Amino acid sequence: MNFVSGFPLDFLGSILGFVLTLMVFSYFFGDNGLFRLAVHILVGVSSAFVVVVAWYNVIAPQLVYPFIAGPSSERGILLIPLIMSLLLMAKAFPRISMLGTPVMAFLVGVGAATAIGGAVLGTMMPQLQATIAPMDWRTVDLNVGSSGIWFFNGLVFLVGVISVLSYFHFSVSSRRNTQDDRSPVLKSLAYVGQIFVTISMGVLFAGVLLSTMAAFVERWRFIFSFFRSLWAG
Amino acid sequence: MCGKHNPSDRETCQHCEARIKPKYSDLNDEELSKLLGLDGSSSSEPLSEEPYFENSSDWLAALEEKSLRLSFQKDNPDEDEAETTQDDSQTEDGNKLPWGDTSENFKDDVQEEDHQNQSDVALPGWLEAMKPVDSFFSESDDMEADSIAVEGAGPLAGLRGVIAAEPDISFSRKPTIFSGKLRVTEQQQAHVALLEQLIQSEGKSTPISRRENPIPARLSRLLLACLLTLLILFVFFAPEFTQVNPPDLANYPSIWAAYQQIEQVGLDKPVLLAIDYQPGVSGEVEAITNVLLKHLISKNAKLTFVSTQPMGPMLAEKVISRSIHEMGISYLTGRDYFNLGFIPGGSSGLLSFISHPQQIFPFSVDGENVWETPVLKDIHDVNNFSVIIVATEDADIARFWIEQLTAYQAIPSILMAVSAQIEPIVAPYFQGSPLQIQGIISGLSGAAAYEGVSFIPRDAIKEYSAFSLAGFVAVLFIVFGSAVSFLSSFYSTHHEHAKDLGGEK
Repeated sequence: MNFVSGFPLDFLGSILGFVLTLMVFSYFFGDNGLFRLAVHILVGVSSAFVVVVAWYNVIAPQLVYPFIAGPSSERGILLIPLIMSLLLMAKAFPRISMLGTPVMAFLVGVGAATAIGGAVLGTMMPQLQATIAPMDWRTVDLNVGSSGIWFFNGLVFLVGVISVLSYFHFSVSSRRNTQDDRSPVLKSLAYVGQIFVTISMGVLFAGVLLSTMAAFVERWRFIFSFFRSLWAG
Repeated sequence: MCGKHNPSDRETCQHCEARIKPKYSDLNDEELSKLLGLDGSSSSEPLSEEPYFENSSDWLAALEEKSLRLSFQKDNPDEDEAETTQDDSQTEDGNKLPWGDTSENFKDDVQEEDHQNQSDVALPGWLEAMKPVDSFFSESDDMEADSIAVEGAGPLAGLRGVIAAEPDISFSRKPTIFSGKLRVTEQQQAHVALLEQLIQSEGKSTPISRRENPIPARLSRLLLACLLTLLILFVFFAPEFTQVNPPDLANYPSIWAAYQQIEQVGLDKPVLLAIDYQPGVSGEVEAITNVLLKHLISKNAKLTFVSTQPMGPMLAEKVISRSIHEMGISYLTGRDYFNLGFIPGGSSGLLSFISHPQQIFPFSVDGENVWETPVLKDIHDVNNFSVIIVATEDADIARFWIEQLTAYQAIPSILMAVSAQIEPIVAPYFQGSPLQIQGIISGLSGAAAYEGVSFIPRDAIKEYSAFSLAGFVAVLFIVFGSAVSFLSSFYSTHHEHAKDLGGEK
């Protein structure tokens, strides 16, 4: 247990947690000042903590200290991120914001390349392979069930993927002159995809409900433990 | 008055009907004298203009007299001056020469008087040379007055020797008045009507008939919250009456796979744990990480914590402290576990950490150079870890870790400790072939199931009972409410349809 001037910090933290939990629970009665106060405290403390972490965990050990006490070769290399950081800060001032544009472009380009490369190599290609793999009789996993069930599962996956992609297909052929701009085949596939999307949304909603229920139970458990510790002394 | 051009023979302006020439310019001297009363006789028919003579002031009367005298002398140079009392400032109906008078006599008199005045004064030679009048008006007899054009328009009308005004400057025209009506063809009108119809239909919203709920929304929300709270507290106060069996592991193959990975994989290398969840969901995800940490600590595994969230290092410290405290063993930072800190830069920083972790973290959160310790001295990239465990509730963060590790072709097993809300998003990575992740533990039920298979002290199961009961009641409310809503809408639709049919009959 941590003590500061003889006062247990853990106990103080528990009291604060208890009070803030009750303030958030006051939303049961509708929006009120206590709930808003708790939200403001959350935002303020989170922002302050992020600033502290950014300085002590990133800026100071990786830029400031090496620039001050590091060898000259390292200082020369660190000039690049230092100058880029200063140029990026120019974005806060409208008159000189154009100075930060090249740095922003560099950041966006690197981030996009990393994300796209990861998405293609880490999600698209493996998932495409996984979608058509059940159609390969050589990859039948009899632990799941019979080969028929394996094939049926694969067929459901394949139909689901194609139909959902068709649902999000909004391109229209310019040669079609009818009011209905999509072909009947595409419309049918889109309808099936809509069913899959609806089921997926329902599953995600169920997951969100379980998460919130778990958080609700955990908070009441905290309050219960707090009172029990007070009662026990 | 209006400044517009008029022919020289007109006496009044054709635009504003102002008098251009004096009214009595055609009168001879006798008639003029008689009119002005200069011959001593009183006029039996007083002129309408004459009252001005009687009422004008002395200085004004003198000016008038002088003006008339000059005119009289010009017309009759041999005769004596006749005193005149004409007032120049009188209206056009008076015996005066109005401003803008085009009478040549008046202009000549003025010029002659100027010349006389100038000749009386001895001017220096340089001033004489500067006189503009001399440059224009020569006293030579060769220069005739008729050769100098008379200005016929503008404020200087009637004067000679002035610079001719450009027609565009002197003539002011009224602006052209354009018709406010648009010329629209029938086809254009049809297009306009169609566009209006499209725009109006765009903004129109179909009114939704709102049914009054028998119970106000706030009250129903409060009742539901109170009911769930009472149920949860009842489970906490009386656990023996509400004990729930842990989930059947057969329904969770992903949890069994995760357990096997930790049991079978050699723990001579450190384990990498990514604490990437927000404090708001720590109630659920921390239950999972707590169970995993207890399992790892029981095997004396060396732990390395990182995070792509700023709050991650703090949460990592919290969860390891809780696990150590609950297990009652000694696990020290810098020896048994290392908290490296926050990875900046999102997915780019994550890729850098995967390939060069020592460059991203020169020091740990405690400020120690942990890369010189026996545990981490052989760590050069992510492949030097035995197991990689990612704890998060964000689908994007989970995908970033999986994608970057897959793209890097990471060798260690990847386990996901995720919230129940993103399990459907992470599950395809476990069900694909080849497997991109080797195990998933999701939600409070996953934590309770892992406790059941790992035989570690049961903490998640205590909350799982309350969680199961509250979740069951919530599902009942959803099903009941959906059924009531469906039946009421069906009944109202059927009732309206029957009413319409009855109305038609």
